[in-house]
Amino acid sequence: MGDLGAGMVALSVALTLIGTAVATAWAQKVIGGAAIGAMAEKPELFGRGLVLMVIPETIILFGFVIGFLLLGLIPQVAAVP
Amino acid sequence: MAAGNTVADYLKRAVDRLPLDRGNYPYVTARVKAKKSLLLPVETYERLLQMGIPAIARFLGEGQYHDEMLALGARYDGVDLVEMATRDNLATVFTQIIGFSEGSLRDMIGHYLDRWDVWNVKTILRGKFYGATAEEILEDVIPAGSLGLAFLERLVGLETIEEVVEALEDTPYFSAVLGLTVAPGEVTTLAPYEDLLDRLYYVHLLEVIPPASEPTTLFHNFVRLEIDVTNLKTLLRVLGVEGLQTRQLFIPKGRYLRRSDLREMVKLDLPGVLRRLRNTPYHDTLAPYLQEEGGDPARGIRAMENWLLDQASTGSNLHPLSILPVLDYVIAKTREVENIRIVARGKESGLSVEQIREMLVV
Amino acid sequence: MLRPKEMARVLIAGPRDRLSSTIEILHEMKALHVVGHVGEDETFGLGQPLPQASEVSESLVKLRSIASILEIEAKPTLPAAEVGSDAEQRILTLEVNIREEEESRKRIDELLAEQSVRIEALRPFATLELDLASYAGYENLSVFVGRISGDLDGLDEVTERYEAFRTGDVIALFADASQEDEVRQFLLGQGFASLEVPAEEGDPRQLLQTLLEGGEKWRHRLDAVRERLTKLRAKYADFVISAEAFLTVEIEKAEAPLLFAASDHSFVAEGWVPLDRWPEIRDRLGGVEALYVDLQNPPGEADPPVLLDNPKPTRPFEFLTKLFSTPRYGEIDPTLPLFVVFPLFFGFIIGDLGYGSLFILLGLVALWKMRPPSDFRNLMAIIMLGGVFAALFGTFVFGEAFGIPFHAAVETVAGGPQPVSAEGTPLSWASFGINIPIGALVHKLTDVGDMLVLSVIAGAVHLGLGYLIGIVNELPHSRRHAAAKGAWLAVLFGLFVILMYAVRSNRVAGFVWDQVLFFIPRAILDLSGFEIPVASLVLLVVGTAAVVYLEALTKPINIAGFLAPIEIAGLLANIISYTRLAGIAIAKAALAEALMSLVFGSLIFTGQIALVIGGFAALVVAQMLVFFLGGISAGIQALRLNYVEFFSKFYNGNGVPFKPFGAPTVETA
Repeated sequence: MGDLGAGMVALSVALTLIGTAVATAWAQKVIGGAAIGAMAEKPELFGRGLVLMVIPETIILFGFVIGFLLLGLIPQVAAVP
Repeated sequence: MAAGNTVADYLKRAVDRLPLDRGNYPYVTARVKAKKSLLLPVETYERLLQMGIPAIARFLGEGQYHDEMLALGARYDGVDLVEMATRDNLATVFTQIIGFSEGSLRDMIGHYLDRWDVWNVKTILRGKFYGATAEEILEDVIPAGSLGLAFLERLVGLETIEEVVEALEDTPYFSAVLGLTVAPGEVTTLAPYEDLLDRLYYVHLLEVIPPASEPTTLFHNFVRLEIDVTNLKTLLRVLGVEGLQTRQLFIPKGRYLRRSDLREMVKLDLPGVLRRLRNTPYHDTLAPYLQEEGGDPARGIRAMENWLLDQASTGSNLHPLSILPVLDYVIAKTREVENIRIVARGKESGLSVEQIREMLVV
Repeated sequence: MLRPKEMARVLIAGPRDRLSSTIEILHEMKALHVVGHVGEDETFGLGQPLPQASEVSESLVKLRSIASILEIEAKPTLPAAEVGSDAEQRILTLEVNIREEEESRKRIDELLAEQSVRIEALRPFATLELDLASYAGYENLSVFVGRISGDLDGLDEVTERYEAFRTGDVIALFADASQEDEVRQFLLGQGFASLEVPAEEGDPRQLLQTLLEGGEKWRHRLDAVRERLTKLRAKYADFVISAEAFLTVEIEKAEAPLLFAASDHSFVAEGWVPLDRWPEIRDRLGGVEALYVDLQNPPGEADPPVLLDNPKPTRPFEFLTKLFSTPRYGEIDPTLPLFVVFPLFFGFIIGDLGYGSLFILLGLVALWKMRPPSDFRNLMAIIMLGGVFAALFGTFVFGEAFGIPFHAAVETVAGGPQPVSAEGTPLSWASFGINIPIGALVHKLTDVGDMLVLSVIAGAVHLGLGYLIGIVNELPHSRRHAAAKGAWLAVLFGLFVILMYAVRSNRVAGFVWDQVLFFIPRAILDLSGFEIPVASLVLLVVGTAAVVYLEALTKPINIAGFLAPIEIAGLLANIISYTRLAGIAIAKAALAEALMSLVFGSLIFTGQIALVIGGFAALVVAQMLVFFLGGISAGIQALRLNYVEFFSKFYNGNGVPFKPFGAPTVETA
């Protein structure tokens, strides 16, 4: 793989992380707002609210995994133990 | 407000259609839904019916009316206490909702809640008209709209109707009540002016919130449904009453019922009205009460109120991230307060449990 | 221990005149969770409150309001002493007193507010020393009164016929009416802002004087009112508190019939009792004449209330369980697993002898100072146990205290620990001459791979436990669902084996693959460069097929069940989610390391007095930051792994908490 190829892969990794991070942030903003709103009236919803709030974290986790696998395609990175 | 055709107007309308973040919908809807779940459940009314008025006050004070009961409990008792606590609570809760909403959502809620301005203006005018004391009037004032308590108190403090009208000059309601000052001696009833105030409120409401985007369209449609229900209630009340046909009773721009139709229906009997409603969603709800001559229009009115509650609640489930959950809560909360007051007043005047139960809308 | 207390359904029926004695006994026993009667039928309607309910309610409403006005805080320690028959009288007296004081307080407040407005309006006029009458009533003169920032030097050019009075920035200008506009123009240019002349008469200085004196007097009166209220509070506080407690109990008894079914001559009460208290209830109520008490078969859809039953040390963790949701009756109570896992995860993330000890200390203080029941106390007890594990991990695994390693890591990576001393060694406790004879098994900042693998192992074990509990939960209801959970467990195991094999070059994963998973056949399948053990592939395929068979091919066919293969990605995400244990531990350690290197290397070790002093201040701030940030994120993330990843494998929740009739209601703030 040439430098250009490696660069493209690195860019893809960055894009993957940016996309999934923004998606997670947006989703958490919405859910977090709703959770806080509900909790303001019913504090006993804390547990449920927390669970709902963190669900979108899966998105960036997938982004992380995909990014990690993509990184493996770059020979220079793969060479590092 | 005529739609202009300048470039700026086009731009504004274009922007209105953009799916921009125009309010903190998730927060507000989740919060009002939580609030709605804290309203008294149906079974509770059954228990309230078995309680005495002091016990009702105590029970309310252990729930959502806690702060109000603490503030008023030492000074008032009986029905007064229940009425004042529910009144204060209503004002606090609605002001709070406006407080925590943002953007165009806040505007819509604010305009919708201006109905309390109309209510207050009516209350004050009526009080002045029938010579009630300032204290008596203030008991029924609910400062949940745009007119603040200080302003309302000033209005209540004024001596005559003319002064009240004058003080309303900067509000949107001035034009409706202006007629009261033209020939004060000739005013024998406030009813036409009250109708005018209602009409003004709805016309203004539909005008300031044009159906430009999905949120505003939902709002618009629901308000027009509410206009229909209000008109139907008016219709059922005045049916068969002589001399009202000349008055402008109805509010324009209802969703399914046109004003011209309603004006014709005033002259019909109950089955006739029902026939005219055949192609509207209201037919099935009203059918049991209007089928025969005589019927039971009073229960028909309650059925319509119930129907609107159901519509609000259905709409709020279909469009969970819209303004509908808020409207749903506003209506349900208002209904709860009215129900509590019905129970308390019914108890006070010695009605039987069955009679009071009959009057509740749950 | 793993299940809530067993409940029995009780039916009590008797003639109406036994109602109040039954209520007395039930209230005293605090063992019956009453199921409210719903629905009218021919003979049985809702019971009516006992006759005293109204009266007691009225007193109670007054009393609570009075307590709020007097700002009396309820002390739960005070017993609900019997309040004498004069209670009502005393409440009324109190009410009258307070109403008067409250009203005068309000009146004086309003009066003072009104006066301060007048005072503010009068003040500028008092400095001008002109009588208030002199500002109005001229035909040919225009009067300008207000504040001005500029000066009047140029006014002569505008007009000659004027007279000005000025003190400070307050000005009164009398000018010829014909030149009013020119003068106003000029004044506005000089920063003039007009003041309204008060609608009062006389010398403003005198008026002001009188007002100020009057205000003083009113303030004294207000103080007197406040003092009287304070006295009332001191005098009546105990009475108010005990009367409130007593009446609350009274009203609970008086309104109990609202939960019962009643006919003209009899009543029926239904509810749940913990099975071990049933004999007691039977004997006590059996003593009442003409009362029928017996167990009955619960109706089909019955959902018994849940009373958690855990050994004492694990009881604080019931708080975490309830924070999510009370378990359903018949479901395994996850408190015990939480008791084991939460502190372990918390300890792993913190992994520091110093911070761990601080958490223990905090917990001990809370246990010593606070009385149960208190959610905050529970939380501190939980944190304390987490602190124990943090200290253990910090001592024996990570070799670290207060963010400083016992011994510096041998290999320094780029961007890792920076040298802080002249000898060029990174910061460690050895830098202070403290030599702790324990080496770190895992260095957080350099052995990142170990940390990640450890997290994944913890995740697999935790999730596996979740599926096991899931099997136990489902077994009584549906063997099919239980078997599906088992199939998922197989899939999980398969994924785990693949992961361990893939990273076996890591020493921890290698150990697991070689020593722990020794029973897995060593046959490897090469999927174009991606190697996986054959056994794990079998597990995945068989497990998934089993899940689809069990969940989808039901009668009628459940379409959602066909989505099971997609859920494997979800399970993988679950496992990977546990790497947050490593992630946060490393991030916290890195933050601490960086801050400490900076504080010691650039400030304290310099030996310059000013820098050293600043360094110690910075040290305190930095340590607090790491401690609290670490505590909060460790707590939340450890909780999340339990709530989201773990609970989703077996937990339903939404149970009804057991609330026996007569038990004091805990005031929720």
